[in-house]
Amino acid sequence: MIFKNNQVDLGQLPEAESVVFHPLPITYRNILLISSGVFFVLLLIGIVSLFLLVPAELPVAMEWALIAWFILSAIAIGRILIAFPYKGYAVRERDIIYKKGWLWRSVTTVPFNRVQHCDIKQGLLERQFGLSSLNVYTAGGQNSDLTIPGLDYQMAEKYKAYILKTISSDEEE
Amino acid sequence: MRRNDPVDLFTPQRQSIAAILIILVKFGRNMIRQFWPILIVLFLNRKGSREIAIGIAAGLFGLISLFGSIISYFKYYFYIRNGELNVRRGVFRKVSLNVPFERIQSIDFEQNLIHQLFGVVAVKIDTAGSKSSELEIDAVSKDVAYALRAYILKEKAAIKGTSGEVEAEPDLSEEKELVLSLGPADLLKIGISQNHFRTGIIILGIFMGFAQDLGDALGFDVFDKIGEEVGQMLQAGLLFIFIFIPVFIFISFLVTLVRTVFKYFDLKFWKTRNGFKLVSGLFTRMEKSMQKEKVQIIGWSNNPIKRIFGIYRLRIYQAASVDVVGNKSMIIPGAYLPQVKETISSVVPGSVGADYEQHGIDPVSRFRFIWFFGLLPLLILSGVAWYLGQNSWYLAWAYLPVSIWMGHQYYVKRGFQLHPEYFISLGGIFGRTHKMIEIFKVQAVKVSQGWFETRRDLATIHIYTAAGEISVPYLPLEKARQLQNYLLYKAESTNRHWI
Repeated sequence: MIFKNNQVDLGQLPEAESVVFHPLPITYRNILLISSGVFFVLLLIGIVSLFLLVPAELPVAMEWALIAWFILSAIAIGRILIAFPYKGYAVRERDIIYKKGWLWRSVTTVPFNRVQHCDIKQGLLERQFGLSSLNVYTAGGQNSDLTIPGLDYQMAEKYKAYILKTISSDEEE
Repeated sequence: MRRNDPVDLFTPQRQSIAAILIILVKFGRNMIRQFWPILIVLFLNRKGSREIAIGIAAGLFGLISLFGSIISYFKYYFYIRNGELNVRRGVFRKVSLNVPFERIQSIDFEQNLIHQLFGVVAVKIDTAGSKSSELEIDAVSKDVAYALRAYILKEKAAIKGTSGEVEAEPDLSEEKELVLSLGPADLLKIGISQNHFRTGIIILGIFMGFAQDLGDALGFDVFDKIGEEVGQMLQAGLLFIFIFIPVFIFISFLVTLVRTVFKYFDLKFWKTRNGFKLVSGLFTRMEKSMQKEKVQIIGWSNNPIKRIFGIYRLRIYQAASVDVVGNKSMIIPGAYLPQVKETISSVVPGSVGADYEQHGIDPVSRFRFIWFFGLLPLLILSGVAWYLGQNSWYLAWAYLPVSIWMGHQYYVKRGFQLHPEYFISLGGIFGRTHKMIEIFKVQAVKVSQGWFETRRDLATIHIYTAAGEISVPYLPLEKARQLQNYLLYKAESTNRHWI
């Protein structure tokens, strides 16, 4: 045991890692792919039209720009595909956990009794696919706020209701 | 309550008449800040006939702002109604603000020279959480200001009381105990031991902004001119290092000293019955107060010079929205260890002298430090210098042993101390830094791993409070997870009020 000094047995503490994480729906991955794809297609159109409109003789620069475009888009798409399975969330009795990251991993936990309020947001694409993101806010500012993206809208509503209920029952105690 | 109160806060009232002057000065200062390049240009290319036009324009401008200040003074009312602080203001666009007492986080006072002359104060009210988080009343008499604060704090406590939360009585009595005050000798010590490097950067920043504006105003690029000069100096390489840098350090030093005196002149720090009170400043007197239970983080740190004097920089953070958390913290730039301890133990009794477990970080951290802050910059610098044909680049490598020493210091000093109820993060390279929290106040915990940490089974723990984040890197993953589980357990198993 690492912390000898504690009055609680650490082995008995609930472990944030051993919980089963729910993966995010695959539809959300597709949304990420679509929005990334749209961005890179627009970028490609931009690059090509720039070189068509500017009558300078820059075929070499054009080639380099296209190579850079290809590498960047491959990295972006590849990153989404590889990193997506690492995203996941779990809701426990007293807190909510979100994990993410392939090269840079993180697991963030926010106890319900420290939550100020929570809401649900839907982007344009998310609405098309019936998805939404659940935002959990704490006091004092954004850095300890938690966002779980790509949740099924009905699920997000349920979680929100659950969290709000927990907060208000905490306050009654 | 109202009977005992000689000051009537309930009928709409204007600010003190001195507010006209204060608004005018504020307005003028803003105008100068906005338009000073134009002013400089006007002054530089003056010609006979123009001078009159400028004079007339300036006079007209002055009249308009005076008129504007007077009107905005007469259109500004504040009063208390239905448990809310109300402000009505605006000349063309009417604004009416109501701030419920429970949203008010803190009420601070400030006095610049004009305030001091007229015996009035500016009241700054922070309402955490909302976007425009500060409400300011430019000038009211001291009586009104104190009555306002006393009334709001009292009502706030009553609101909390009825909702079942246990909260200490607010501080209405002026009973207080001086923890420390800074005299001239202390100010000198503090001025000498401040972070001159940071001042240097600020000066550089201000200078860059200044040069940019000046260049825009005069129509040539100031940086080009300086670049030419510096370029010639760089040819002489060492001349640059041996003349420019000492001069720069000397200027930074003087500026820090002056800033220290301006900011911390006659600083007094009191313990009140359930909080702290801090007053300081030469031309602008600031008065801040803080309730103990709102304290989230207490930090104390030193550096080699501070260590010689035996002083610490003490900083107390309270819960606040991110953009004002810096303003809402109390800074005591020079406190002796007993005073630091007295302050800490008055917030968290029992934490001083308690039994802490000491935990360090993984030794590999020192190599990472040397790589990122030593080798890598040196390699890039040498590469660039070599490419540019500078032949004195190898002199920079004298920095390598320094970075090795710094990396070692980083590894030795970084870590944390754990007590069942308290957590202290440790750090520092030249000096030592400590940041302490009460564990039950934790708002969120994150365990993160960069790719390097993942490979080595290490992790960084980030502990979030309502006043910011504390993190400790390069911990064994297993330890970071246990710490995470413990911190969460302590936060989740309490229903004590934490902000």
